Amino acid sequence: MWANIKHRMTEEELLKGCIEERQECQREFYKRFAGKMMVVCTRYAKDKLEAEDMLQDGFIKVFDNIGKFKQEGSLEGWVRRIMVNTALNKIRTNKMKFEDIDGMGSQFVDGDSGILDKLSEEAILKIIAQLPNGYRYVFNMFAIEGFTHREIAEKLGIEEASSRSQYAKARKYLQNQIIQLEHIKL
Amino acid sequence: MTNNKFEKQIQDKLNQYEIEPSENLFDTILEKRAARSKSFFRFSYTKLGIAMLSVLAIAAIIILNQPAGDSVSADANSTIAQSPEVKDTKESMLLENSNGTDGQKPSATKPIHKENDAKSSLSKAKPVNTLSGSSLKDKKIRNNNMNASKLALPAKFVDVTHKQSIAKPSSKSTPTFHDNGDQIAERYFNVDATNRPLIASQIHQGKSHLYIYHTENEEMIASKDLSYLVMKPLSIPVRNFESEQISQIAYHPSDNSFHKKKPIFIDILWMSMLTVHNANGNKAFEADYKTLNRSNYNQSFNARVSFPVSERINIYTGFAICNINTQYTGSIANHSGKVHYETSVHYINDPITGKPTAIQQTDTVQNGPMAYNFRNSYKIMQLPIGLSYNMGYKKFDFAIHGGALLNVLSNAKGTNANFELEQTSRFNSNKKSISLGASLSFMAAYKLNNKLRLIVEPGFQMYKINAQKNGNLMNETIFNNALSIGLRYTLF
Repeated sequence: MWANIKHRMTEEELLKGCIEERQECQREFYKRFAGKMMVVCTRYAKDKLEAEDMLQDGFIKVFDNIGKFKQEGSLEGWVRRIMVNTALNKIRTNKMKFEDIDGMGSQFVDGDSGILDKLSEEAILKIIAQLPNGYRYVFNMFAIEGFTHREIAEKLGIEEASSRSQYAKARKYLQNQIIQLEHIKL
Repeated sequence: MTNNKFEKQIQDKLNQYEIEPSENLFDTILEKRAARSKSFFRFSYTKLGIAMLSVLAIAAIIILNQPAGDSVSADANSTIAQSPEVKDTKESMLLENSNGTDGQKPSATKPIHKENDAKSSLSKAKPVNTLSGSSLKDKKIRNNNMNASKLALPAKFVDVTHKQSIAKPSSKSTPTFHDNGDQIAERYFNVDATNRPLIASQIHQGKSHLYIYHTENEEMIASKDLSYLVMKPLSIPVRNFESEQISQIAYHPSDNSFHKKKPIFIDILWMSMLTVHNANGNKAFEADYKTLNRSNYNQSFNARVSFPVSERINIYTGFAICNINTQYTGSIANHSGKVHYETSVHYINDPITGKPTAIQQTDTVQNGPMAYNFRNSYKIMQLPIGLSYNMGYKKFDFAIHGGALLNVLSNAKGTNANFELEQTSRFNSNKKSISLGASLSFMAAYKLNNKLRLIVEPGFQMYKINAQKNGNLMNETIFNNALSIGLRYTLF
């Protein structure tokens, strides 16, 4: 498609175009958010195929409901919320697995230690992907999306306490993995 | 417990990170949305209902508000003039006595014309269209005052079907009587629908019925105080028709709300089309599109309703459901002869290390003409509206239909071709758009029975599809050479 988007559209123009079902605007909208939303979906999906499925369903919902977006919050935040909800709907059928995680350590990764800065985003995603499904969902929702444990419990159909404990385990596991990775690099 | 900096750092890192999804995912999204959207038929029914009701209302208003004098066409006048017996007949009436019996001699139920001037042409008139039928034998006829057996026949009709009775009128009684209702009905329907008479007015008194069909000048007739017929009151059973005393029934000129009967035609058609299409609206590619082959076959299903507005003119409307495909095939030599490089990467297991090793291969390729073969597809609901001129010959009805086409595009999908870059991409959109067109066709209908006719209708359509609104780089202009076959049902 070679539609001429001569200037970078403002968010308002983009919204208007998408509401009018103009394909060049929808394409521009997609281009603007697809990359970031793919990261969101990847964090919840077991593989790239499932992530793209989530992304696809999410964008369909976004385009279907874009007229309902009230320009009070950020557009990206609204799209992200739809993506997360779509991903959660998709994974809701998956049985939550909270088996023990191997390699749990007690080492502590300080935010100021700079270890995380040295790691690439891809590497962090890979480490998150190693978590069993249940842990991964809880970690994503709490640490990245900012849900409370009560909300996580409601959305995933688990106990609130279970959410807390699983998050703690997931966090420790991730920290341990990050440190191990750092040692290997060194 | 938690070190929030850890979460914050992960958040910051991941929120700015992007992963490129598969290239064709956006197209898949559009396709899925198109497939999930409301079906074409549901959409069309809503729109169709509104459109059809509007057209029906307009047609009803036109028909009901037509002045009485309009019902006599020049054609009818000319036909009357051809028959010397009915040359001066300005009105035609049917006086039917329901107690009439088969085989009875026609009685002197001749209309009494009270003329002021004995020399006036009206006084010389020989009303040949006064009929009496023994319709009691026919339940259908008996139950329906408007049945054809009770209809007076217009001069032309009499001329066609009862020429003998007109040419040799009884010396005692001028009116011609037909005592078999079935025969009258048969003869009535044998005439092509456009030439069947219009009933201008009707008066019922007991079992007697007076029908008056189209007149040349109703006001003149009214002013002459004619049309008084006398017959015996029908409360007393009468066995001998000749001995009847006839009471007077006055004729009052009808107002504009008189009842008329003209057939309404309902046509169901299947149309096969040879479509020739032009892509336009984007000058960069117009010339390239024209070098490709641009014709293919399509089909559509049509329903059409025709309402009479005058003797030979009908107004028609309806709808058609079309799936128009526009196929483009051929090759374009824009970059023919130029050189480009094609790079491919293969992986082999290194025989020494045993690890996979990438082998990059670059080929120099000379361009040949680029071959294209792609098709665009449009779902269209057509709402035609127009006029038809009707003719008849023996068992054939003919009509010329001409009018406008309102095209409602509900889905467009296909391929965009960028001949400059030698690339193609897909588009798929449910965006609705409306465009106008025109159609012209010639219909021949063969009478199968009184209600059904077989239609063959060659024709031509031209309309534009505003495909650019649906993501196509080009608009398309469609030229359809069409041949329709179908059935015509006559609603009377």
